[in-house]
Order: sequence, then structure tokens, then C-alpha cells
Amino acid sequence: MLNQIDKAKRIKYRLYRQHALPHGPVFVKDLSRIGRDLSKTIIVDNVAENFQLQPDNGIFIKSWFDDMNDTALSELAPLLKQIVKKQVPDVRDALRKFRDQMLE
Amino acid sequence: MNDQIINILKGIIRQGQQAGANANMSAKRLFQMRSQGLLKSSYVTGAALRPLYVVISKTLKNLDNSTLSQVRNNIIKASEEIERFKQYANLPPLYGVGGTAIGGYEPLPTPDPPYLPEQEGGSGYCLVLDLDETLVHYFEVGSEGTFLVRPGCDQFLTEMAEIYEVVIFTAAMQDVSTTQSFFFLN
Repeated sequence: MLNQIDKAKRIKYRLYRQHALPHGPVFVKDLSRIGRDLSKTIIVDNVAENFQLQPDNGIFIKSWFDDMNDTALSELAPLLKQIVKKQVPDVRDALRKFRDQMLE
Repeated sequence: MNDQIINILKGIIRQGQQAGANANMSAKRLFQMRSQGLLKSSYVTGAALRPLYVVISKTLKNLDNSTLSQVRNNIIKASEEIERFKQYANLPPLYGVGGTAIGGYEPLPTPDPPYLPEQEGGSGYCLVLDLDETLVHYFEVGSEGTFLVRPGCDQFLTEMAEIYEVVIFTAAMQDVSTTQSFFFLN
């Protein structure tokens, strides 16, 4: 089974609860600890508290349970592709602009 | 009383996440609660409102202009108000719907950063993905654990892996999520 996962090679690394920091009553995912350039790092999570330490790096996605008509992932893909295609210097600026647009 | 408020808010957020029209209803219900002074005594933290805020903001596009600014102002006011209650942050939080509370678990020793080795080549962009309720949904039937995979997950991962370094970051325990990875990768 492990070999099958490695064959896919899509997911490079896995981080677990021990990598999340206790913060008040919850665990948060502190991106500054993973060892990546924060101007090039995006987190997608259905719990906004999880990325509260780096809110500008976060994309909130609605929680999914069983709706087989859900399209959130395919709707998210174009934005993520654009960011790389345009080689944006800082994803935080790009995501901030995107959020502002959503509010207008 | 506070449990009741938290449950109502959870319900609102769940509703709000399901459909655009419902989110508008949820907004109204939230403002109603606020005017009744219910939010003031709740445990709600600032960050907790964010999921709802984002969901509602999406629906604002569909409203006419006068309603839009009114609703928007209300949301902002509600956010500010809830923001002031960060003093309750040490109390049970309101989650989007999932969330990982510390209660009941001994915190594990945290490894030293950086968690990941240096990036090998690639675009330089890193995409960190949550697992539960983002890519999969875990549930139990009797004592059997099973999973559903979010529609489009497979294609999403394939497309993203071409341009990003994809990392899964889950707050679940390692043994559980390893099983989950097995499931949706196979």
C-alpha cells in the first residue's frame, strides 16, 4: 500500500497533529515552522482557526461531508493555477486582492 | 445557556456553508441574535466568525446595492463585536464545523522547525492542504471507520502536484490519517 502511495508521488509530505501547535483551546497550523517561503506558501483548510497565525496565506474552503454535487475543489483550482502561472511574487498579496474582490 | 448559543451558531455556520441563499438567512439570524444581546454572552472568538463571514460575503454579490452595503456593514459590526470577546479565548471555541480541540489529548512533543527538508526544484510554490472535511470525510458506521472523497479530489491533486509542492497538514493523529491517505490515493 505504501508503494502505491509513492507511485502517485502527488503528495510530497505529510504533517500531523504533533506538527500543530496548541494555541488556546485548539491546535493551529503554524506555517512559519514548516520551512517554506511564506510568500510562496498557501494553506487550504475548512477551519479558519487553523491558519489564524498566517491568515493571509489561507484559503477557507467550505466543510465537506457527503455532498456529491460539491464543486469547491474544481472552483478553487483556477485561482491556484493563476497564482503559479503569473508567478506572483507574494501569494499573500494575491490572496488579499482576491478576498477584497469577493467582498465587492 | 452558552452551549445553546454555540449550538445555534454552529447550526448557522453549517447552513451558511451549504448554499448561498441559506447564508443570507444565516446572516439575518446572526444579526437578530446580536440585537437580542445573545452574542454578548457567548464564547465566540473573532476567528470563529471568519468562516461565516467569508460565506456570507460571497452571497452579497447577489443582493441589490442598498441591501448590500447594509448587510455588509452589519457583518462588519458583528465581526467587531465578536472580536471584542477574545477574552473568552480560553473557553471552548466555536468551530467552522470541524476543528480540533485539545481537550482530552495530551499534547504531543512538537518537533523542531523546519519540519520539511529543503525544497527540491519545482516551481517554489507550496500548497498545504487540510485533510478532514477539506479533501475527505471520515465517519463511522457502527465500529467500522470509513471515508468519502470530495468530488474532484483526484483531479485537483493531480493538477496541483504539477505546479505546487503538495503537503498534507492534518491535525488528526498520524495512525488515522495514514489510513485516510491510503484510501483516497488508491
